[in-house]
Amino acid sequence: MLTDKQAGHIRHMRNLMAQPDGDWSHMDSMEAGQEGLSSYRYQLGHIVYALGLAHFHHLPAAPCVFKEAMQAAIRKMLRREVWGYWFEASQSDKRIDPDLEGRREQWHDPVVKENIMYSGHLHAMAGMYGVLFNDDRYEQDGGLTIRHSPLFVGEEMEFKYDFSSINDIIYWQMVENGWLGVACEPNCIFLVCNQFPMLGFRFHDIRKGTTIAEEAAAGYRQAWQDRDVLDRPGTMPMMLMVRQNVLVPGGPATDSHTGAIMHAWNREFVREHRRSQVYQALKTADDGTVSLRPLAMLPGTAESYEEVDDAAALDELAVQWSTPDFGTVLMWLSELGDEETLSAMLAHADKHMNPTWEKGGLYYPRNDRSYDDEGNLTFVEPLTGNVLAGYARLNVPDGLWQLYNHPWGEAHFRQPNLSECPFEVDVLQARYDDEQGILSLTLRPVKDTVEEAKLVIVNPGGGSCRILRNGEPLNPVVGERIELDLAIDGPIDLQLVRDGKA
Amino acid sequence: MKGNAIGSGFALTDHFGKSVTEADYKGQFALIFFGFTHCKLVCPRALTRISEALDLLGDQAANIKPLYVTVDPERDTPDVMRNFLETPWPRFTGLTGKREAIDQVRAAFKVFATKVADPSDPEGYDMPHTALTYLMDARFQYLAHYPDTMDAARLAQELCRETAQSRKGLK
Repeated sequence: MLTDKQAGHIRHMRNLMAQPDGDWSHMDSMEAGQEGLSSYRYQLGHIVYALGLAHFHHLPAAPCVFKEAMQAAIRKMLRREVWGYWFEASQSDKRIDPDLEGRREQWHDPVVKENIMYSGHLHAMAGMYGVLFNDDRYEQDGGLTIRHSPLFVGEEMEFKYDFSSINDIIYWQMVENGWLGVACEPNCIFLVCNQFPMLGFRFHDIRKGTTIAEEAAAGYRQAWQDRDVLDRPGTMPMMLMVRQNVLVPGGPATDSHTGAIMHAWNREFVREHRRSQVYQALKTADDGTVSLRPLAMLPGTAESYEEVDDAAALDELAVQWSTPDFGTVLMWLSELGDEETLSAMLAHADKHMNPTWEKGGLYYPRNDRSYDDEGNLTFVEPLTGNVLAGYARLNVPDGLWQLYNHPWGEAHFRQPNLSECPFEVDVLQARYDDEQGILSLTLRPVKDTVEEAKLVIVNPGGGSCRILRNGEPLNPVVGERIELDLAIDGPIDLQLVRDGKA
Repeated sequence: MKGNAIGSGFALTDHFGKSVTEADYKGQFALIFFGFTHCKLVCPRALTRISEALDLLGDQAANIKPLYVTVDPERDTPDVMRNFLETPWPRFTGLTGKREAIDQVRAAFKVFATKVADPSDPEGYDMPHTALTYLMDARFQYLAHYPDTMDAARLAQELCRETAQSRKGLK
């Protein structure tokens, strides 16, 4: 059964995705031009991953709760506000490529080359969608076509893609780069951004019967081992500057984000680094809540943290936070299963980061102020506040690892499930017990009003079924599609019991 | 996995010193592996594995021409390649050429290769490189590629299947 907070996070993400296209309320960040980790593409990607994990682990028999929101996230990814930055970014710059002799010729297409910080997410999002809903809409020819058709501003553009064509483009760039990864900004291969296509390769294998994930994992490990990066303890690099062959050091922030995703395909390695710098950066308050030192300001070795004395804590308060380190550490803790630390960090968030309920949804509003007057970390940017806190609350230990390694088989999609439910109703429980032949649902209205709800349950098994509402039988039903008209005036339990069972 | 843009024609020199292009191999399937003769692990292992797969194919292998294209033309002259290949892996023909010609074919097959220091040979260098095996059809068009992790038996099966399909014009 979902907790109120878990249901609240799902609701908030659904609310965001239900906003009209072009309405990015709550999702705008400090940086202009879709730079930084709170850019729309990262929020949209992580919303899909968070909702996907919630569906897989908590509400497996309620695809209707997630499907439309995940479709909306993918649709929004194709909008120009999300990818239009690439035309400027594609020309490169001496700051990211000191040997650049002149600006490169720009191009609009955000998928065809580099820009894995966009294409890698689109790849993983479409793949996860297909795996969780057994739905091939993004696998159809042109299923992920990117269009922009302005009347006055700029030229008409159409870039025709689908899940497999994006998969192929990323795969061949990986091959060409010796499996070190694909560049985000020109010349910059970030480790974290290359973790998402690793998920995408696996999802492609599941959907299309290819065998890329194993090759990708072996190739990636070897490529980075050749650089003596993945074998030694401590931090992973943040990125490789390709032309200069320079590894830019990482820190707890990049370690946690990279590790949270890499854990799906490289679990032992990530677990060996459990005592990496991330733990050195935790700060425990007198009340037992846990927050962070300013990670991005203190990259370096684990030892450097141990050398920090109390006086340094005062200096921390002068730091202006700007990146979602708090959120990525939450993600990392949730995947690695350190529930005690995770709970203590969420307690800090609940105490100092202004948890807010809106339209039945729970989020932590953006707050650019780093610390309050008592020195408590209060900084929240949209990726953490809208998504990552929810991701961490909704994930389970090894959650992404399980989805990657043990996805649903065909039998799952033949089981009874709630396929339609009004947007105004929260689903707190949706699980089918195959042994008992019972589908158990718990529903409640989002607002304190009665919802006249039309529910549709599919795959009940063909024979007659009994429906119980709070244990009381409703009229018997028959058929492959059961429609129920119910007044939902508070939390209700519904059970569908296949006759002949239980 | 599609590879519509993989591969191209080439103008190189075989390990007998003869100038060759892709036209010399048309009419048969080409099985291409990129590497370099100083390679200590990946190339010997791959050349052995590919040779074993072709052995498993028996007569069907007669129409498959294995080619070993160097990514290290400065050291891999035709003579060096012939000496390297002819005893342990006699099925293979080595191809080398000028750096520009090698880079062109390497780019067409999206092959990664880079020079790095070799701790065991301070005077020399190592070259981590892509270890895919590419199958081209009788018109020298891309058919498939296989990872280094695929064992000889599975590779033989895949080659059998792909070449049969290609012959039937299904691809």
